[in-house]
Amino acid sequence: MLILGVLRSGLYSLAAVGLALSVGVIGIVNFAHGEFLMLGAYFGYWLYVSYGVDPLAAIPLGAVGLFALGGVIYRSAIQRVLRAPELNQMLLTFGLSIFLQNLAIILWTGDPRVATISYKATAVTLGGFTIGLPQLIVFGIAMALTLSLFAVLGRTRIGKAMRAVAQNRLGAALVGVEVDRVYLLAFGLSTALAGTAGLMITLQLSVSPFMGLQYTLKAFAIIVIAGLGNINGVVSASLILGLSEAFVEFYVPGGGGWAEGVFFLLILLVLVIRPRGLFR
Amino acid sequence: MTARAGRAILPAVALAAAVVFPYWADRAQPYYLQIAINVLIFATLALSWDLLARTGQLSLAHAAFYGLGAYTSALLTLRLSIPIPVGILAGGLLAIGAAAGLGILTLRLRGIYFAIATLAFSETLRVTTNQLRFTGAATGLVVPSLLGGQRVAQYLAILGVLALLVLVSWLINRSRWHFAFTAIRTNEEVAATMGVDVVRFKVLAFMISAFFAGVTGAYYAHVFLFISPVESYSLAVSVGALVAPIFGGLYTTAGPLLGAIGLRVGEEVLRTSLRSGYLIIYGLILTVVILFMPRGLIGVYRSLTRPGTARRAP
Amino acid sequence: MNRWGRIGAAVALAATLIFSAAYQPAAAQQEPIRIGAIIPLTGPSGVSGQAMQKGYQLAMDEINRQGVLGRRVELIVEDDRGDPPTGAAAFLKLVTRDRVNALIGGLASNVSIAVASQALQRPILMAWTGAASPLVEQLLKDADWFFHYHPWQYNNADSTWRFVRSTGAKTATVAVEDGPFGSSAADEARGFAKQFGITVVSVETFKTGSPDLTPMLTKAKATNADAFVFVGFDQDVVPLATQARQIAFAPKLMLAAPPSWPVGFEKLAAGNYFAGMALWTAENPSAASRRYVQRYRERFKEEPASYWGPLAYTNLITVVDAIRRAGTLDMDAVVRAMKATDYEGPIGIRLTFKRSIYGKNQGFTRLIAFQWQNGKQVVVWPEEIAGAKLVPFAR
Repeated sequence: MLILGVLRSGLYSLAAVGLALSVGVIGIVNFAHGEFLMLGAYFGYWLYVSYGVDPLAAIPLGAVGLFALGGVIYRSAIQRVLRAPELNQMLLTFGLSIFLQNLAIILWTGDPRVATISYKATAVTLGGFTIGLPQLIVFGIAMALTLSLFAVLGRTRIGKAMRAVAQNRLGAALVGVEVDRVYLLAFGLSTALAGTAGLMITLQLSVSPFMGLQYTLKAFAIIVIAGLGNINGVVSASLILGLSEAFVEFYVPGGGGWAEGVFFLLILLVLVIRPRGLFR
Repeated sequence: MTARAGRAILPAVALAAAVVFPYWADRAQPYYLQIAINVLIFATLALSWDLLARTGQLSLAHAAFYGLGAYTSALLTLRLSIPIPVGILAGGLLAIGAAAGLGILTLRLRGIYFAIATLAFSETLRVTTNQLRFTGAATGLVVPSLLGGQRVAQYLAILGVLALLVLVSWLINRSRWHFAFTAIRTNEEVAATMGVDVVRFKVLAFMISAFFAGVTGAYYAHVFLFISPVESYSLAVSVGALVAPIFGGLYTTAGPLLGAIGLRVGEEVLRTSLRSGYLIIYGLILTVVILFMPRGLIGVYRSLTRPGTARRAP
Repeated sequence: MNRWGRIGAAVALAATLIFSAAYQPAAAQQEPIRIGAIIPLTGPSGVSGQAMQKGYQLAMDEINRQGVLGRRVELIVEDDRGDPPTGAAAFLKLVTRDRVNALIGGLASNVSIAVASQALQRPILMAWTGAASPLVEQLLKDADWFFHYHPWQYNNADSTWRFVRSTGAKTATVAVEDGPFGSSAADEARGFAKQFGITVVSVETFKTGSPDLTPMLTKAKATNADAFVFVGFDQDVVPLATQARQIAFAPKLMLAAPPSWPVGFEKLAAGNYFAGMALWTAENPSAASRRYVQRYRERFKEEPASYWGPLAYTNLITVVDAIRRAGTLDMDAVVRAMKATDYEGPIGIRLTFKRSIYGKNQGFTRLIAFQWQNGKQVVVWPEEIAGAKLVPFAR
């Protein structure tokens, strides 16, 4: 169960890290995050069904596509509400999420679809444990991407600029950081990460226009436990989510029904006791 | 003086029309009567949410109070055969209790932290109700009908609730509370140093808001006769409650009402005329409104009637 | 900002005017016979509603070729969005404004209850396809004008466990999703299983939409039961199929009963030899069903995906047929004609209306079992319409 929980957390952290970036750097609470993930998943499905492209091979293309889409949405919408009250920002992304979801329904109908990738049900044995191959791949990619994001944020100029903007927008602008470009980059990166998470879902599961909300909620839960804007805490918080789910599902009788409740209760407690998140 | 008299006439005429409306609609257009009931439910939720938002608290827990009200009243009337109006009132009162508790727990939280804490509260209630046997678990409950299912009487009942809420909202916006709320919303620390009892006002606003959400939830249960955890505690309830005020104009009495009417009627017109794909337009309109009309319908109205004062904070 | 605000307001106003102008009740030329349908076309259950609409279209093609009582038939479809208040409003629109002569459709139980509560005050012939919850049945127990086509939940459970029994299974493990769909199935599982001499070893719950069902499946595998019965949605059967293979969970019978299956499942190797329950599948060997599938392909250039299409087709055809036989639109006469319905259509089972536990007019009471065999949903039970034998999942 330990391994299952850890594996599961990979997908969760990939879904959450983009949102953490958008909340942390730009301060935009993006309720349409799950819909970007859904678009990524459909992109992967379409490539696979039409051209037989494996979702893994589609990652670069999917990430670039979603990055561009994120950029366009940032320029046409998000940018305009940066100074607006938080409420308006939330509602804007709600509107965006309704729009994208229904666009997907019109484009691909509401039927869930499954890409029948050959190794979807393959398992490997590692040190006496049987592990699903897709889950392992997804976990590996999620970790690689999250860690390289840390590296980018920690080492490179643009990463430092992002962190500077996240901490103090005005100060960063004063020392010559082009805040607007950093925001654009951060938002595009955030949607690109969501799109990649979506591709991973195509690899492992099925896609449907309604899949977004579930991952938006999970991602929110994770970044709250990590502490809003604390990108480093995302991996640990995903682990907590993955492990708590797996353990409750396995050890509590009829556990599947309670797993979610336990987690939300946890969030409530974390917020009430340590409002800035566990890892701060 | 004439301006003030004009201001008083409009609500009076609206109220009179709203009271007479069902008697005409019931005979001529029962369909409109149903739409009106749906609009009134939505408007009550919206305005009660706005009351809380005036203190700067962005709640996603409206579904929690709505669901609590619905379940309290349903269980009391079903299991203990308590009269339905008493059950509805009890639903509202329990929501007050829950709001007091949650309000105190989340006092320190701001903005998005508060929103997510309230969402977590709502989801916890949903899962719990989903698992408990005596609440009918996930299958849900069939609930007895309010006032023998007579639509005119049911309409007047929710109109009465909404009228009471409008009165409360109007009084708040006219009294010293208005300044306390605005001060807390703008800057809590400054408000506290100015001598505003922040804790008291925040929790009070939460309780009033929750009472009306609870009553509305209970009313819904007894009008549509079926409740289940997925519906009553649905995030859609909380989101619906905040969409209307933003659409109509935040922190006002008329804004949430206008927003609720505009959205529900618009949705119905789109639904009956477009058949499919209308939600795309709905999402698009929402986005456009936020981008180009940040003060909602009321803001537009003000800028049209009084161009000079449009930029003043609402 | 001001300028934009005004333009926005003007656009909104213009849009409202255009929509209200475009919306005019159909002009009454020859006074067609009007039938109203309330189904979800949007929202998560929109998929099934869209399938129903295609069934209606096929039925309408046939009906208006000859007309009824010398008149044309007009079908007015209302989207209920899976939302009870919208369903109630749709009912009143159809009955009081469009003045429909009969009401068909219906999918979700919650919307059905809201619609039924209105219908109790304004009785109309209500030929209802969906709503499996017996709560609906109890609410309408005295309604002579209410005809219900879909089997009730207890019918579904009866068929399921009868089928499990027919495979020779003695023990079963049940896994249910945590919503209304799963919980009602869980309630009935033990009782019905016992009735057919099957021991339910364990009932597991899982969260629908969860990406990982392995913990639940690991528990289920440990019970070592002959049959595994899975009650979840289309999105859940993919992790079910792949993750069961990963942990080598292979009971003799692997039975999943989602309302519909994801597109592409037929190509999923891991899904081969999964059994399922449905009212109908496209592989149904009856002649009427084959004709239906043929015409569906010609008309829509795709394969019929779910049983909601042929059910909706049956629904509309039988109502119109009853009006034809009654020779009038008088409700009592049409209700009598409906009661005399005896129809062999695409569903492949004869449709007649009989009393059920609470209700007065119940149509279908039995599901069929099928098995995914190399990409096809082959009917395996009941024997009289079976296209192939059940292949054990574990080998």
